[in-house]
Amino acid sequence: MSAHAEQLPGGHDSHDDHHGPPVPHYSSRVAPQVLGMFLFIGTEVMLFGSFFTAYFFVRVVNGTPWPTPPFHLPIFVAFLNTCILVTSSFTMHWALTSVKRGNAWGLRAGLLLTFLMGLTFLVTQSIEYARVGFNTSDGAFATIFFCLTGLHGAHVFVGLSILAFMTIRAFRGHFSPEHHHGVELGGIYWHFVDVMWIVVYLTVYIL
Amino acid sequence: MRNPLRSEAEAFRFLIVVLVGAVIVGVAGYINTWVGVAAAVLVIAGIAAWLTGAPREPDSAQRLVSATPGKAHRVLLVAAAGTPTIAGRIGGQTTDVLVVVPALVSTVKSLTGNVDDERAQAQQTADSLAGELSAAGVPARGLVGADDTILAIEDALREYGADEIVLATGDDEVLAKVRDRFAVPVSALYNSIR
Repeated sequence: MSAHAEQLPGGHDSHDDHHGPPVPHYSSRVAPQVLGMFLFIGTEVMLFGSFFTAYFFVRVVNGTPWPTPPFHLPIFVAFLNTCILVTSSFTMHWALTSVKRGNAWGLRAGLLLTFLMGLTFLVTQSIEYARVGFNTSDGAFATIFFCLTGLHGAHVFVGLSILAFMTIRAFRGHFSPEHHHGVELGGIYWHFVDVMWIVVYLTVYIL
Repeated sequence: MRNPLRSEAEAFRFLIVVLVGAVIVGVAGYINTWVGVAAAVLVIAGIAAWLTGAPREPDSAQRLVSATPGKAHRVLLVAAAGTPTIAGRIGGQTTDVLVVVPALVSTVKSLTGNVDDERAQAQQTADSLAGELSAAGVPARGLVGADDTILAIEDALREYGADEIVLATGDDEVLAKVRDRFAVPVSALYNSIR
């Protein structure tokens, strides 16, 4: 089709001076970046879904007491951790709102706070693991507990890595109101991690 | 339908909704586990309704327009797979024709990638119609389009300036949508496909 490409009104550029390989052809229904994000989230849902299925079988089908006596889950500490993680989503949103308004200070502060709160969450969870009083070998309940919370913790770790790069780039002045795609994608991932924790917290600690 | 992955702002809004639902489930679960489970089911249904029940956003995209060099009259011919002939139906002033045959498949086939047969049939129709036009002295070539007629036209117009769209799909609903969507004269051929 490129042989017939020409200037089209409405912002379509001419391709007459195009060099190199042709532009990949794809349908306009889903952009490649969005499709990539959909596929990524799809794999994440399947991954978490497999662990939740195990949880369902252990607790509902098999009827294993939750938590299995004599163990107890640190609900209050986990609640504080939940508050920290949820708050970090607000600071993440503040960071993105700031960069859109050209407020570099707000962007840096927001990202730094988000990173610190994420780190606090992870450290608190590590301490919780050390003091919880059971280990992965203490029955199906303990295995599922560590698998679900550990899987989420791994996602937080990935999110923290992304946040670290975002924060460094923000302090180096890489983002602007026009160009902040890196913050946008990192923010989506961080909110996804937050939503997943809310689900994990409700199913593992509350219900 | 809302898409919580469209942007950070959408993701944050989704998080807030989930948070509200979590508070409801948490309070119910504190009372009794099974009450919490029931609340969770209701909350999940509510969030699903919120996601799917959002009013459709007005299409902010401008109507696609097209332009061609002077004295040219390019036609984008959109035909259904299996269209046998369009002999003599394209105007004499036409200087160039792009034949697009959308490879229409069911949702299941589309998702599973089982589209080879439909694409092959569409390609065969496109080649056949383009050959027929070329034999009649009108330069033409054929392409397989997306699995949706409107999208196939959008894709084609982004790279092929057309002065006219000719539909040979026999679908009045699609015809109305095309006329609404594109700022290009649209005409329909019916007899050729029946």
